[in-house]
Amino acid sequence: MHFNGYKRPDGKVGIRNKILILPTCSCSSETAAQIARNIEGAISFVNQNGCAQTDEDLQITRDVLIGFAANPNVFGTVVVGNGCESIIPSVLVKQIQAVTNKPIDHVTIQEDGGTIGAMEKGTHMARQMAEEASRLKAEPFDMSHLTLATECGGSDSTSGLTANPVVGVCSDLMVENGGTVILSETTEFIGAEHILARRARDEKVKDRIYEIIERYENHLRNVGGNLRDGNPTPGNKAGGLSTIEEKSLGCIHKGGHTIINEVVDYGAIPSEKGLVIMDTPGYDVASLTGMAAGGAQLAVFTTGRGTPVGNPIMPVIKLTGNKGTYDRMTCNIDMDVSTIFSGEKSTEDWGKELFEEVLRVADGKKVKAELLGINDIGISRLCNYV
Amino acid sequence: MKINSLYINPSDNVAMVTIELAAGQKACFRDGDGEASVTLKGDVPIYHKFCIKDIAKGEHVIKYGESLGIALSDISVGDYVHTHNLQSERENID
Repeated sequence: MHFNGYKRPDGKVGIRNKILILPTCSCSSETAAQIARNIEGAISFVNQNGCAQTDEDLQITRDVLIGFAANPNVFGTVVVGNGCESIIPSVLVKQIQAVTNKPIDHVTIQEDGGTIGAMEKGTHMARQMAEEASRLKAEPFDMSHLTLATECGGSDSTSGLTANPVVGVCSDLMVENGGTVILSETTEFIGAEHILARRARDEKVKDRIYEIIERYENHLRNVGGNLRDGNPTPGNKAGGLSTIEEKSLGCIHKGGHTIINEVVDYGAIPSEKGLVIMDTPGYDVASLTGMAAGGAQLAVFTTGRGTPVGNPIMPVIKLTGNKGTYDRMTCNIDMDVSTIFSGEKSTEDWGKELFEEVLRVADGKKVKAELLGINDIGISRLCNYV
Repeated sequence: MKINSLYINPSDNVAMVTIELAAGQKACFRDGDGEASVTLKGDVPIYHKFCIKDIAKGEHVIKYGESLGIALSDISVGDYVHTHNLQSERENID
């Protein structure tokens, strides 16, 4: 089993060939976006963080920015800083160079002539990288080079019965063929953690599964909050999900049935192949952001209520088991697996179909979120801005 | 009978409708090799749950063969099951 990808100088393999215009903070995000608009194949996003954060909180942001630049889908990176923020542009460049030897450069708005000067300089850098990237030819690689992120958002009762089990079949096929699958959303393991713990590779992984849930519950307690303040959401409940247990028991189907080899922190790159868990929030955009930083080249995303979410770093394949949602949002959703209910096509058959779609998207087929230019980023936070 | 609902695990005490059904209508589902039906006592919106085995107040509501939480009142066969009579054991962490 092979897919066609672009080999990077650090040995990784990308399925897209993007130039990342990376803003260090909010203040440089608009200038970064202007540079990205000038060059075909360049991407950017609004970085709401990067300044006025506590150390531990800032570290999460830094890890995500470094992870984005290191993501195999990125050919090269132009860091765009303002000049006085906590994430110092020249330092970030060095930190990125410590994990990857891909092309990188930076501009600083305060030193390079304001927005227009920085835009001109940054556009030249991005143009040159885009030209080099265009010379690369895709070559076949085996599945051990591919990491699939799994996600659900806007869930309803169909998610746990159809779309998530379909992703589970696809996840098992990925693992069987030597690939890596990330199961995410720690808050949506609550009430189903005993099932995941039974599938842990060893005691250490089992302990980590309970530990990340306890950490989340303690965190909510410390800020005087409750899960019921935000999860399940009003839309989940309108879709028939009554409790977090019901949502979680549906959510974990995405991980399929294989052994859980590792639990990694938010945004961290897994060191194991096969099925791994990433400790992410249930907020889907922030969870996808963490997995893109962790090196996932593409994602499968199930939705019951419907969502337009996409990601600038990786293609996001969306599927639903809710026919009404698919009919209302066909422009956003790639696959309708609702025929599982009528018995017309089985979960197993849809899972194989999704696995084939994953390979097609890895080979270059664009998903609907890419065609619509939907590029959402939400970096996880530990506490409020200071 | 036209199948319009389903349950997942033999130990489940709730099932889910796959079309919207009103009080008095029959929810029909596959049950082992055969079929079974329940007359609904309340309106059940599409993809929501109803009771297929009596559940006493304080007992677990079971789906996927696992607990969804605790029954807030006695729930009998045909009752609509949602947040009004089912509470999480995990959402309130005080």
